[in-house]
Amino acid sequence: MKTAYDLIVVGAGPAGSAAAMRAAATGLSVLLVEKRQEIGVPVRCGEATDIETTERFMPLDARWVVHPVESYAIYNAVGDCVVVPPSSPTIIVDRKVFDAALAQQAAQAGADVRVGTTAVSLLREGGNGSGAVTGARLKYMGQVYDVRARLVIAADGVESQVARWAGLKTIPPLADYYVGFQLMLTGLAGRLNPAHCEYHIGVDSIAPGGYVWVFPKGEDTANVGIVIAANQARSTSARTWLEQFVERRFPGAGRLSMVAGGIPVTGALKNMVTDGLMIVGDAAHQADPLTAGGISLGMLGAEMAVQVAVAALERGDVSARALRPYESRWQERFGRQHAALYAVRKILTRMSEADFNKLVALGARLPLDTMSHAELITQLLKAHPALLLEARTLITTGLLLK
Amino acid sequence: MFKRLRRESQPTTRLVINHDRCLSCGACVAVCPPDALFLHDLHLTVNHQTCTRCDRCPAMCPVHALALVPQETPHHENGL
Repeated sequence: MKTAYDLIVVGAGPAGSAAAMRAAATGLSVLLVEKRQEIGVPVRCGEATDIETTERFMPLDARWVVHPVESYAIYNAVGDCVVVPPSSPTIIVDRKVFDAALAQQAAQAGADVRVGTTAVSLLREGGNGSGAVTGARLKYMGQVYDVRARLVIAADGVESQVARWAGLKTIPPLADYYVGFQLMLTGLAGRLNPAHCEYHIGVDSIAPGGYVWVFPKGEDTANVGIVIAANQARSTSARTWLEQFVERRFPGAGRLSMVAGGIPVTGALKNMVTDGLMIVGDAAHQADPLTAGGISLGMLGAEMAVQVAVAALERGDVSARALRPYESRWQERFGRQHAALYAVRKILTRMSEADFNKLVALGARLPLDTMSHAELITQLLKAHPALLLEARTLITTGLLLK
Repeated sequence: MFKRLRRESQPTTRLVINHDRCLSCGACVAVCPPDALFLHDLHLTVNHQTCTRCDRCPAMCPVHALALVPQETPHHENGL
């Protein structure tokens, strides 16, 4: 067994596989390890992602492309709805197959891919537990062995142990975490529009501090999931909230799968590197601070990390200082946008259910397709003077997200 | 402050995991400050020696499979 590589990637989700693929393609020797016995299982996700980013990594394939998203329908708790197109072309994927296909791409690019292999600890220079990272101690089938590497990339998800060992882990307040639960429902024919992805928002009656989504996977089947703010999840669980919704909206539906998870929605960590180590994907909190979507953000984060890593390895300097440009590139690309999305989530969280209901009812009557942003904002403010308090954030956000 | 110190030196509560509910999603592991929760081979365990009973993980669990219960509570009555 090979015991030295240029790069070890820990975790074969989308971010890890994307990192391994990009690095292997430049000629680096890469080891990609996944602790689970099957890549992509269990799924932890709503499975919506944008086409453009996906196609940067692999061609669309009918094995995992389930359905295109034509529009989003945003519902309030009393059934009014505003229909908006996705900001970029979006698809629903089958994550189980998608993740496996991405890891296969990494293997084809030359990476050694190993499932059932857990990172037990990091190897550190000087052996005192705080020096530069020089590899990882791995475990496969009960056997522990050391693999040296010039650089380690941690893509081990929201519960990242590697980031913790490296001292990069930060734990935001519970208000900045979503708690998620999702059911894949079947028997929905005639009860949903397969082209519409639905969002349902109601802070008192649907999902405190979050929302419910209905992402169709065809005529008859859909991912129906919920996220709620973790600080409001103590008395009633995300599962219970979702089951109440399903009971009202899709009574009697069959359940094909259930998944759970927690997502930090702060925007990416400020510190994503240390000597000899970078973190990417959910491990680095690279999820959308409003929707919590993280597939393409994690893959883009991985791509940025590898670009910086390749240059650093060429120069023979993998110190934190040499790896920092990864953090600044992320900030340049997503910093302001994510700060704005974070602000929007806070506004939605503060708004009462009655106010939100009125807002959607108004939006449902406005010709959104033909209105300018200015006209829209004027109309909204006329109807909801309280929004003036949030106007500055909304306007900045509107400009940023345009 | 003293109350808090006392509670930490002589814990009056303990964390229980309901394995019939746990889906091994790792959400609790992500928010555990002392790293006292472990997910090995999709099985969740808690290190009671390092757990500070901070009460974050019960809120973070999507299916409420975790709870802090009075120390002396018999296991079958842990409220989960």
